[in-house]
Amino acid sequence: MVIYDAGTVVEQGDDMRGCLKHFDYRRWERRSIWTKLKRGEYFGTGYGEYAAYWYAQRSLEAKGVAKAAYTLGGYLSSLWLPNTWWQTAGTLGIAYMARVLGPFPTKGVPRFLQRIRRYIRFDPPHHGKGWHVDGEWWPF
Amino acid sequence: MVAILNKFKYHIEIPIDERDAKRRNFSTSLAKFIIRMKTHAVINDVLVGFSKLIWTFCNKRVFSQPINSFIDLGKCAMLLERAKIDYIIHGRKRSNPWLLTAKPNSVIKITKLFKIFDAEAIVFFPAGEKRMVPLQLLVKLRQSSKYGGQYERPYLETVNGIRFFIFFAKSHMSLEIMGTNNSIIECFLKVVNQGKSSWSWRDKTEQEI
Repeated sequence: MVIYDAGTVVEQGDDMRGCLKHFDYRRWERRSIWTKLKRGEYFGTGYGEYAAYWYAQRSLEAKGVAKAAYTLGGYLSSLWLPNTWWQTAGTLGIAYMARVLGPFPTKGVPRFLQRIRRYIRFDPPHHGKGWHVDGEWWPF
Repeated sequence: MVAILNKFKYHIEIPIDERDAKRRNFSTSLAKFIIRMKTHAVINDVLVGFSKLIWTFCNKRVFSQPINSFIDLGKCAMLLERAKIDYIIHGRKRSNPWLLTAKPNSVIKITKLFKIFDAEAIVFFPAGEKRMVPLQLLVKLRQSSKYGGQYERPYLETVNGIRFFIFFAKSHMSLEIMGTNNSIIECFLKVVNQGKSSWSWRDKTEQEI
């Protein structure tokens, strides 16, 4: 899987061993910062990938409740793979921004994020207006 | 005074519109009075006009608090000191209190507050004889997170003691006065007595007035 993702496969063999034989380790080491960032290597996606494989193997071997538990672990770890991390982070980020900009109490939100509300926020009804977008950046 | 009043548009609801009360989770026994600036008005003149109205409504004893301040309240306190406006700090840390109450003692100082308090909204309310923030209000404000994003609700739950609250929103450039029916009528009569102005009301209010 890793080999295909990085786009470094020169020749595809019939099995995994064939792939590894032609794997260009030098090129793998020379990957750009952008490539590493895209794969989320700076945010520990390697651990997520390792955990996903580990859970997958255990879930194949186990039975009953243990199988269910390992499968659940697999689902959770699959949220932080090199090709799924940005979707997970994006979903959490959007939800948190809704918490910051939405009509919720500001308690618990860091001060620097609270300041964004000055420019744009979603307000509950007040001053004779219904639910509305407000703030200095909102022209209406 | 007439010249200043002509810069405003008025809207009064006694009692508050049922739909609005339901939408905002308010009691239907409350009343509402909105004073808006007209589009052609100069902002500085409007702020002076608002200050004069607030001063009159609160009988020259005003308390003011910023709601969801964009700057640290410690810094706000420093600015208040520089402008020679009295204030009360609520909280253990002087540098970062959880609540700040200003006690402006003139119309000019209320106008200064509009600039000092850089917040989503500013609330003004009558200070009363003792010039002390009621304990009941402080308790409600301490628990304000349970009211969600509606910053008016902790204030309006203590409306029986303080009678009315004036909310100023910079983004709307308007004052929303909410309180008991009698107090809103008093405020409205104060405006009417000070000069003729253009104002509007709903049918329900027209019958009562």
